[in-house]
Amino acid sequence: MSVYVARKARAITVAALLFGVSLFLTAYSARNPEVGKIGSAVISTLLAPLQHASSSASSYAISILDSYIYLVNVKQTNEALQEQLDSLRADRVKYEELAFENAELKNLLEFKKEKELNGVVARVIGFDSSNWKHTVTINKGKLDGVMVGAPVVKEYGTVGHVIISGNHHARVLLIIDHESAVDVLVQRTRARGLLAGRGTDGCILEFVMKDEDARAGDVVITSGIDGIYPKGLMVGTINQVNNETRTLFQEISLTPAVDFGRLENVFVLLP
Amino acid sequence: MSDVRWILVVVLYSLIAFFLQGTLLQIFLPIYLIPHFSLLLVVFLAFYEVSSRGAFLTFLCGLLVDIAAGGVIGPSAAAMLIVYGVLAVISDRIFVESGLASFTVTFASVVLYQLAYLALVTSLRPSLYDTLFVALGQGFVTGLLAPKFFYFFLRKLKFASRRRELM
Repeated sequence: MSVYVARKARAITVAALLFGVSLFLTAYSARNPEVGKIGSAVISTLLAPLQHASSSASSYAISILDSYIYLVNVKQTNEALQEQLDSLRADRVKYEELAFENAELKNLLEFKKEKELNGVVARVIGFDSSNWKHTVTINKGKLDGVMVGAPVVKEYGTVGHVIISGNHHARVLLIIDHESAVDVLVQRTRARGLLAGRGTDGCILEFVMKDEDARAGDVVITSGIDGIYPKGLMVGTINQVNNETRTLFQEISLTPAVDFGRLENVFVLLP
Repeated sequence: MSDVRWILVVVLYSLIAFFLQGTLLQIFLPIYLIPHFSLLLVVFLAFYEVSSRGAFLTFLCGLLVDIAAGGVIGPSAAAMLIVYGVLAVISDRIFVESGLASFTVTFASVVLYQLAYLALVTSLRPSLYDTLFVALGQGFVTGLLAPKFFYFFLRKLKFASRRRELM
């Protein structure tokens, strides 16, 4: 027998013997469980510092990881909430807009009913792009009964009149345009005059005789004589009167009742 | 290396293995992906230390595993000795230096170890403990008597039909 084979045989014999010992220990420790716990306690004591250190380190690492994941979740939640908030804000603006439009249309309808006027409500869909012309485009046209010359008003003032009418839209010349002229009355004294537009400066009242009584604060209304506007529509309020002129007429400036920069819905009077 | 140093190395290695297997790696990995470091040592011993020392170190390694587990002492040692024994028998027929061979042998060893351990633990029910305990004790004592018995029957009583030829 070679040395290697002998060693191998010895190894297997010893292994077999130790296997028997293992079985004996198994049987013995199964009958006496406290035996196994003694050795375990010793090993646990030896490993405890390492386990404690690694446990602390891993807890720290896990807490950092959890915090990161939590932060990622928070970020995602935050983004989702931000989107929701933006959407709600947009909805709110939309609802406020609807409420505002509703109130405005309601006022126009009340105005129509009160004045017993025949007409259609139109929305302003465009403004003139030049600084010299003061016109707006509305979304009602011939097919809605809107013809050239039709007066356009708000419930609290005169806007202008239609100068071009398409099938589904119309162009309105505002009373502040330089080409606009409206026959008016000073409501308090019934003094007549001609309202001329001055663009962004508003309007002036022309051809009011010097002996006529007109003061700042007086309300000016349409006279109904020009054949365009019905009588009694408010045009504006006199803000300055100059009697010391070299002509026969007073110089009167007037603030229109309508804020032309904020026109949205108007009422077109139909014959 | 002296036997004492071998033992110290195995003990230290086992402690590190317990720490890695039982604490550190369990934090990051599921149990089936944690390597069995103790068994790795046993496979190594089965190929590179085929001797009574190798067998003893395997026994020690298994014993430490059992002790660390805090349950019954012995089944791991027994299962590891089965693995060691099987591998020691076939060790000179396997070129374990090959990566594939070492992987295959180790993989099979882990499976064999786990199955052996399971068989030992599940089959040793209380009634079997008693039987095994009696069987081992009885076998040990009977084995001690064997040489004297053989001698007495063979020499004194001439109670044999033929003499065994020594090889």
